[in-house]
Amino acid sequence: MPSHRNQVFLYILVIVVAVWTVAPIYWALNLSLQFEKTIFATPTNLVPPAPTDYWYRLILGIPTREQIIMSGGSVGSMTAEHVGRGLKNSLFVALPTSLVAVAISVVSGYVFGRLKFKFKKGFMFMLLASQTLPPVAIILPYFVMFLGLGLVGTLHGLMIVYLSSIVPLVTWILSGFFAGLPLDVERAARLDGCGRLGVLFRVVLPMAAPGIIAGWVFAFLTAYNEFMYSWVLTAGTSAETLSPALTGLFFQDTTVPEMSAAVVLSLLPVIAFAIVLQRYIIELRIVDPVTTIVD
Amino acid sequence: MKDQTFAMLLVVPLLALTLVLTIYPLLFSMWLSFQEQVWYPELQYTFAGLTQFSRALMDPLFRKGTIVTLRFTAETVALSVLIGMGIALVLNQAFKGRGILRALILLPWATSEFATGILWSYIFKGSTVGLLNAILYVMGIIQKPITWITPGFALETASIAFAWHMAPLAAIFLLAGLQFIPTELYRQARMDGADVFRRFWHITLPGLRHSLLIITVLLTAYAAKTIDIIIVMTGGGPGFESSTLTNLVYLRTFKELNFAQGAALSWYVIALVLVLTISVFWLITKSRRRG
Repeated sequence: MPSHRNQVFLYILVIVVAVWTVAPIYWALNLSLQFEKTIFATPTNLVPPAPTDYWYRLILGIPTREQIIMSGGSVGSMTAEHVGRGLKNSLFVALPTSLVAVAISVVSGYVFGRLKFKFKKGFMFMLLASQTLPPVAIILPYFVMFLGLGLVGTLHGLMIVYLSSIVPLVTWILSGFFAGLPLDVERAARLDGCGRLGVLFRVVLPMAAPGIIAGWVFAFLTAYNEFMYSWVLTAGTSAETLSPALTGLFFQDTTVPEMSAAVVLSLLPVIAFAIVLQRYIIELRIVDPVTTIVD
Repeated sequence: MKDQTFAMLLVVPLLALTLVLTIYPLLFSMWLSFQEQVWYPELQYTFAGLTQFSRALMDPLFRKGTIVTLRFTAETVALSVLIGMGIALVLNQAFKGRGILRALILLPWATSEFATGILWSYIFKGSTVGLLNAILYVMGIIQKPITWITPGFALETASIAFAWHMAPLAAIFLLAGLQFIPTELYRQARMDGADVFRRFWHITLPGLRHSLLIITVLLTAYAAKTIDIIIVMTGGGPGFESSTLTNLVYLRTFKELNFAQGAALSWYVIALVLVLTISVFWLITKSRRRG
């Protein structure tokens, strides 16, 4: 058994996977740490020859002394205003939305995952069907409806739209998770005289904690990363979130290094989130919505 | 309390919310699609029957968009599943640094679609600012940068970017599936002298059948309804070579402000996504009953 050769082969594959995964992010990072002069050299530098934090400082509004002197005191860029505000708005929408979505979905996910009742298949199918609606196809009615309600260009409006699409999805994820938990403990607690809600909160929820965190991560990322609704409902307003802000800058031919720095900055929260909570994200594998419906 | 009552008590509010926020827009869109839109002297709608729907059918861009959508869906699903399978098979091995790689592969999935689009447009840039050209140049394979956003390849750049974003999801599902395959089977097969390819073909693939079908359904729905990546990377161009149906809806509704036509087109998109998703879903149910 040539196990040494196998080992080498395995590590080559590991490197291939790692490179494929990281290359696009690395490239933006590389571009964001250079000035245009070195970027537009032929060939482009694959590593920054003299890494600079200029673009990050510019966007975050932390100018260096030289920048202040060179610009006569007024430092700032369009990118800075948009990305700063977008980042703040996105977090302001994504955090409460994901928490509320999980709170609702824990209950409905429990019901779908654990209880037997009439029309269950039908309801679950409706939840799935609502996920196949392309945002671009239903955004116009939302826009008209929100215009009448004064919700266009507000963070509340965006939260409502997000809840309506995220709750079914997280319900679905959590129902798969609840269905996989052992029934015995729950039954025992019921026999000991614990009420329905008591069982849910004292027995089932603690057992389901990893799955609930996974659902929350999923909800947060979905809200933070959403594009179409925020593009139509908030672009150009004070409630503009990160996606319309970045996309707008991208279309306006912002310089390559400045745009790259903006994208890398926008990725920091999700990268931190994904790495810190990665062991919970792996729990998402328990999601097997189709089985829950088919069985 | 009976299960039925308890369930209804908890589920009805959720359903009410979903209904109001989903059914209302749908009804509005349905109404809109049966109207003729007049801009002058003021914005007015008159009932026009199925005019908008037949107009969409006659539109050459509609036919093009349908084909582009199907092509994009097929390409991204195939690529995502292949790459996801590769990642899952590697992660299923024991090696040093497995935990790090497992965290790493989640990054593309956590990256939003539009950010994925921006990242990959810097890879496919038509000068050596693009990573692909830069690498090919440094390796001495090309002397002049290649333009990737061409009529023949623009859609594929978007498909590859979307597959980068989606492959981790496939990998997570497949990795879970792999862990359910009894190692005993592999040991037995090895004793019978089956090489690595035969083991993959006769043990791994059948064992993953269910996971593969689930991930295919999800990816099909995601790919068929997406628009972010197309808008960011190609804008549907050059010309309309990479204009998916969703992009056509966007164009008609928000660029040309032809709301009625946009609404009618939306229904074709919804129908297409549903038909695609349900047919794959149906395949799963059928294969499960048989298996």
